[in-house]
Amino acid sequence: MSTTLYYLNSSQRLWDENFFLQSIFTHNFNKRLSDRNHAKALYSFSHFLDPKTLNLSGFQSDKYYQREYYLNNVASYLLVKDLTLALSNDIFLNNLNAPSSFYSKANRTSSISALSLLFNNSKLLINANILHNYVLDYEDKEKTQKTKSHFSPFLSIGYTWEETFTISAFYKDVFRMPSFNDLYFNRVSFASLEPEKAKQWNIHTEFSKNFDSYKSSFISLSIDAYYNNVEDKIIAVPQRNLFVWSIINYGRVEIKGLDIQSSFRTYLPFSLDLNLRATYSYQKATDVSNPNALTFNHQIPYTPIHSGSFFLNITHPLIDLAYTINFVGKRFALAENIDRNMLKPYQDHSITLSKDFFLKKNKINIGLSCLNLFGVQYEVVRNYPMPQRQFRINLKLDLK
Amino acid sequence: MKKTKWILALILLGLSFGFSSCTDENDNNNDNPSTTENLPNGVFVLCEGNDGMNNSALVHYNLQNNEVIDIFDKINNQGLGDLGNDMELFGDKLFISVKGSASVNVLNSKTGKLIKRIPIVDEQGANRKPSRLTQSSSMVYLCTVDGYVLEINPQSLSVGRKVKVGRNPEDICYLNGNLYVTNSGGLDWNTPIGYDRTVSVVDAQAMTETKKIDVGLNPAFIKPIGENRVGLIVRGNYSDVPNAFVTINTTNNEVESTNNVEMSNFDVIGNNILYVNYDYIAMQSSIKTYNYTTNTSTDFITTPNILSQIMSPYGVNVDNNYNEVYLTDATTFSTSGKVFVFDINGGFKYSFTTSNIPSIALRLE
Repeated sequence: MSTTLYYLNSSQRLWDENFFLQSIFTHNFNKRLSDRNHAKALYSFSHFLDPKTLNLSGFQSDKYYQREYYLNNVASYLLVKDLTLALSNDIFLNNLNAPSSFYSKANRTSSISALSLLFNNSKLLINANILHNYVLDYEDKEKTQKTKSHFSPFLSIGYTWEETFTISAFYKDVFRMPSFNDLYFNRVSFASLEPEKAKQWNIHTEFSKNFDSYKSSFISLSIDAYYNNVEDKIIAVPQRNLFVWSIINYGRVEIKGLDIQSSFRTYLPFSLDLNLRATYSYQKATDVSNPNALTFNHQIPYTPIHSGSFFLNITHPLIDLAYTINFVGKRFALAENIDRNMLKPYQDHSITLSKDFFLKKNKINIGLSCLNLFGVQYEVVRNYPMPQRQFRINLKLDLK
Repeated sequence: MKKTKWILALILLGLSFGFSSCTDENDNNNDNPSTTENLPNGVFVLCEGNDGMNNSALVHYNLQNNEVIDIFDKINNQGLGDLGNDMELFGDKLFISVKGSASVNVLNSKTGKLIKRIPIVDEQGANRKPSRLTQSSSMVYLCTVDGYVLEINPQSLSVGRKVKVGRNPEDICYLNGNLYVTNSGGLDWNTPIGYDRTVSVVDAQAMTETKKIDVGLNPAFIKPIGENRVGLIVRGNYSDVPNAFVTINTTNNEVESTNNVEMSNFDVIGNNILYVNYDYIAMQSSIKTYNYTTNTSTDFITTPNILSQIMSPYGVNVDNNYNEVYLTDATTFSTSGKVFVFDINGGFKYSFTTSNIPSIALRLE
């Protein structure tokens, strides 16, 4: 690979503000019938500023105001022992006000209804449901109105042996509308985006065991294998800067994946408490839209085939030590899997030492971390280098 | 029980260290190529790359063995930068303006070796965004998106005088002592002031703007098309104001003709124009020879089943030394591009694959 010269005087800035309010109300009418209501209001604001744009005003300033109101109701009824019927309804009202965007104002009303049947006797768990999505989009600029309606079935079956071994499988049909971010967070129009439709098959196995003789030592291992078939997958490709990404539908994407997670905890001599956790993901996500395209069967951008993490934590009454490794395999910044589009694999190691002190009854925790221990130069997003070795001091105070 | 627990723990540890050590980095350093060696006969193709992706490239097509290599990267062991916008040959020096990387790269055209990277920044050190290049018999000129024309001395490779023109110049050409600069105003497309609609006439000797000609909304590519005439594309606003081809008579610097023709890029072929266009609604490419006096056009390509292979016609380069035409295909704009080579009568000769968004091709022997 050749040398990359980074541009060091970027002055682009991004601000984000979020605020939300929610309320939950539950009522059990009798032993069989219960009703739960959940209301939420959400407000968010983002502001992107590029103080060096070569237009007449000399800068680009984009502000986006979003509001969401959400109401959810779940009624469930116990039919016979272990068998429950539930009906849930969600209503969302979203609106966006983006004075500088091509589409300055947009509204979305959506409703999601689900009818589900659940059987659970602590060994066997069966869940079958059907979900209906209805979305109405209205956009002010071109006065266009779009409606989408979709039914999604879901079935899952699981069985547990002696609380140590579980095997389960599910089939899920997923329908995802492009979000306001996908559609309108841009100066150019992506309003022609189609909803993402996916079919997912998943098999999950889990093994966990406690070692009673060893205080709370335990070991666990879980493996998920899945196959997804996604149509019109919505993906983001960074274009001009970190805020303005190009959002595109990706035709058809096939995903074959395997997730492994394991954890282990034990006590060692000298009052040491050892925690280990490791994860590994394999994800082959390939573009299968068009057999004649250059990118047919190529891994989709920004999706590593291999990734994983390792976490080690040793606790001692005197001091705590934590060590984390994140590993991301090679990725491609563009759809074509060729060398010049490749982002190199990287490992990010970090270490933290921390200690508790007591001042009367108040606990003070002092931590010293070294992030990116080996000072690896890596990029999560192409051409935006991540910080190299950094040190951090944490101070935490618990007042009694 | 205790034993099995430790075996499991060891497996777990093995798993975690397994993947922490298997990064398949190919760090074998490219053998340092001898940089004084002359390049074989071939075609240089400037590939713009994608905006912000830092993947612009200068590729070289070897006419003997049909090999395509990323020559700038290979010879100089560094990337060209972000958005290679234009390429101009002056003597043995190849000038390449790189818009996103605030520079003009000057290469030895025989060896491909970088002679100098000239920074194109303003007094505050900010990128002027070098756009297109042109030349007189003694000087290279560059227009920059921040609204200037700069003089570059091709001998000393230093930036000389500069002159302020209009908003966001898109292209520049030289004819009979004058520079003609298209002011697009493109970065104000969504502000109340909107696009610009002028061509600045600059006296190259004095480096002063002598006139602004109103040519129509959003002027873009401009080239000399005769002894006393320049031709240019005005893009309009992509909705109600259409694309047009405009000619300026350079004896009085007045607009001579304006014809509504959909074209995205053009070059001069004999007494005519060769233009390319892609109609996004009909999803159809057109590559035509156009007579601007009669406002009539005919298909350029005479070989059957070639036009349909060109996905996104982008650059058009007529080579009067070798009587060849290089049409570049930007394909999907984010995947490898292609160059299609024709004889001057539109007969297909050969094609080859390049890096992303090829635009300018130059045959050198």
